[in-house]
Amino acid sequence: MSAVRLRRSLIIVGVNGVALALALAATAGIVALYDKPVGAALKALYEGSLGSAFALGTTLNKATPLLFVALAFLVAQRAGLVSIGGEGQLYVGGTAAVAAALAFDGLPRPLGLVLALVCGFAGGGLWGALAGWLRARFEVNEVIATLLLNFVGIAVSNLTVQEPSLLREPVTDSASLPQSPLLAQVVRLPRLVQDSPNRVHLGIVLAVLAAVGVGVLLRRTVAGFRIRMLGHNPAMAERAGVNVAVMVVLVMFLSGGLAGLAGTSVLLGEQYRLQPEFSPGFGFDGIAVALLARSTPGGAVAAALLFGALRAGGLRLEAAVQVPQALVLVVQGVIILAVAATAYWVERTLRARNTVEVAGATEQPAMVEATA
Amino acid sequence: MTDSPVRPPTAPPLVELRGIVKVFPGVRANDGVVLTNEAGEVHGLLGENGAGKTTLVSILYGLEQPDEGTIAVNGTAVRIESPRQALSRGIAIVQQHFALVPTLTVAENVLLGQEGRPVFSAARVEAAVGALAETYGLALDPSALVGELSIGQRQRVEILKCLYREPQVVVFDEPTTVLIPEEIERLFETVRTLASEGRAVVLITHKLDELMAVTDRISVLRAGRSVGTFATAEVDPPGLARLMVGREVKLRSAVVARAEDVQLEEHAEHEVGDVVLDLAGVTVLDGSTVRLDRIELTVRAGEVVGLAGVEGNGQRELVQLMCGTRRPTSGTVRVGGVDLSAAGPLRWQAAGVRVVTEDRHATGLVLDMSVGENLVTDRIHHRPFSRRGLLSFGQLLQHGRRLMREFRVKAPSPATPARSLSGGNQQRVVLARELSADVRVLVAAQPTRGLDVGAIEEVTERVVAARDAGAAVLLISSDLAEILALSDRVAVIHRGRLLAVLAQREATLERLGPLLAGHVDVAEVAS
Repeated sequence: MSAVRLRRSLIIVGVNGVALALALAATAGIVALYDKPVGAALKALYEGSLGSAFALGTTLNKATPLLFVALAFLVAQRAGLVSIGGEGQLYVGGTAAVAAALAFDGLPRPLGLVLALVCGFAGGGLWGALAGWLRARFEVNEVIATLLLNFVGIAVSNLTVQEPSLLREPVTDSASLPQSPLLAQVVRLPRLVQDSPNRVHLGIVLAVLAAVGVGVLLRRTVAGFRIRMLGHNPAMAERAGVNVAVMVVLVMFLSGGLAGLAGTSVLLGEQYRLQPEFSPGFGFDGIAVALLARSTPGGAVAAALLFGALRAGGLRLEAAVQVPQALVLVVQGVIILAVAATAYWVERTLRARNTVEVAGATEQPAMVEATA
Repeated sequence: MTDSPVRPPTAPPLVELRGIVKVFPGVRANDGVVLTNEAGEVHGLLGENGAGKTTLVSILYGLEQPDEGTIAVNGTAVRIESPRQALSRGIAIVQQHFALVPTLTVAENVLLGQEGRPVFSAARVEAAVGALAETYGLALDPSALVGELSIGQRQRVEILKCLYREPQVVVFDEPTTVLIPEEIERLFETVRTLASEGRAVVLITHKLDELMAVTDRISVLRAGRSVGTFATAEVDPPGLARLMVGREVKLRSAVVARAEDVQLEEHAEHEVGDVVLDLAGVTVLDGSTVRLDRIELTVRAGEVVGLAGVEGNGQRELVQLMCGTRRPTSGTVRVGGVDLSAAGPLRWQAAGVRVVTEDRHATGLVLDMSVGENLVTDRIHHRPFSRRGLLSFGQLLQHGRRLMREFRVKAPSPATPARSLSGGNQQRVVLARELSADVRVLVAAQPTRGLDVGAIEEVTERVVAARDAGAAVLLISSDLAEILALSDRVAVIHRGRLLAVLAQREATLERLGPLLAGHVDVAEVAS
């Protein structure tokens, strides 16, 4: 079977590559429509994302929250839950992490940072679990619950930096911004490369470790087996002794926690203080990453890096050739559409191939008809 | 049929398929299939699951294009590229799986897809549909909501949908799997009426007695090829079974007869054992709807109790009860003397209650997981399948291979998705999982539904073997033949109530028929 799986993986990689090429070609076309030099635009995309140490660091740091949110989405999805609450969980988790970082910055390194990360996970997790509980207890559709909790979560986070009694830094004059105090060095996510324009921080390592962890959880553990069973067939999961209500809440806690780490990584690794509206929609872009990755943790790593690179490159693109940065969003959209279309095609091709294998292995071609 | 249709002797057959070949990657689903259907003829199409019946019908209905071969309608060669074209050429199919909108009325469902004009008169359509229903003896209220109809009534709506289009050829794809005997008899009357009007009817089934009862000729398919076409009067069920499977098969009556012999021989020394499963005053409410009403039933070790009844009369809730996924509102269920009324699924399984549910896709398998994984859904948390929460892949594979061999599951490997298996093999996976555990009580709900003769034979043997090994077997089925063949005692359920529990010799079709419909006289209750 491994040869089959390998071939399958190769096909998927190849198809995504083709989809990416198609999308870039579409981008070039749009740039050309703007009457800008296509070559310069692609060069700017490259230079902004991979062309220098600074660019590489930006790509990795942009990829980090996207990967966390993608993992959050796909864990829930494997359990049959559609969570679009990444943004709200990201805000609540990030806010909790900043609150903890401010409270524990007197502790010896790395205790304060660890506590802040734990609080970031727990904050997002509780926000996710709330939606899970509403679903398990009152049968509130989790799509709606997570969507609406986004607004509440963002507002709660903004409130904490408006209120001096909460996280707002002391108001010294009328020009004081609503923001938290700057975090102490000891509770920040450390840079991986010292004294370099490459500003990549520990977050990307944590995110990749999280991807590995999610992969192991889903593929190799009893809990993951049950999560998959729940996702594919809740009635069977119940028959097999899975407490569906508890499982839904737990999975939503895990999902929310991962999204919470997305906010945490942005605040503790890049921004170093909490400000209103600190996320440019990572909580939604991460969903696109998960979709692009076909909900596999490994694919999520690759897709997050791609989207991180596009975001980083988009900044340069805007500056270099004077096309709106929003063009990058168009590219992201085109990529997703291209991948979705090719995925459909691959699905059909693979199904046909599987049929061949089934027939060949059993010497009973007739039984295959049911699947055809 | 005495009133054979009047038609010139030289008229071409209504439908003629010649040399149909359809190749899917790796498999010749149809390999030179011939089917000729005369006007006024009921033509049976017989074959195991996977023999190519579905492919042939898909071709006839324009869902698939043949790679080779010709289709002629009324003597003219045609291409059928879509169901719409098939309908316009007078070919209609009563599908096995209904395509009805439950929130619309019977008349609206019939009209759906052929409204013609954006505005129509509901009253006029209802009148037309009502008249059509009456003509063919399909008792239906055209203004009733489809969602409130029984399965048998829904099938009549499907038939009406076809007839409303005035087809020349009507294909019935496995129409009787969901019907009770009375409904089957009525369906066959409709089939005969259609033929007597000069239409051609194709009846696809793997139930031999039905073919014998209603068809004029029978075509047999095996592994994609036409084995032959025979006049029904010239063949018998064992011969047909042999043609269909390609080897000698024991029909159910034979399997059971043999098992009964064994049982009779051993009866003296091998008495039916103690009561294992004991339901006392079990009531299940769904809101204010009564699903099960004070059920009193016992099953002893080494005994098969058949629960007969039209589907939707509480069987599903009873199965859920035995899975531990539903609690009785009142009353107790004991297994081996232990009260499990409040127990969850794992405790039921630990007590040795194994359940083959009525719908293997919904509650028997996780279709998108592998065969190997499906064989351990209930025991994944035990050694050797996992240790400290981590799965042991080697053990899963080994266990999968062993059970696949033992239960003759035909699949390339335990890693094959359950979805890609044929119905018979999927059921073998379910049986393998349930019977490879410690079985004190076996609840088998519709265990042979949708299976072909070979698989039915095997499933039946497994159930009998479980009984002989001392399991208490509760067989829940809407197939009376199955119930009568296997049961030591027969209980009849109607609207959640047990109307009677009869000993095997008292359980005759004549007595069970009225009970299934809910007619119970005083004498019945007394017994």
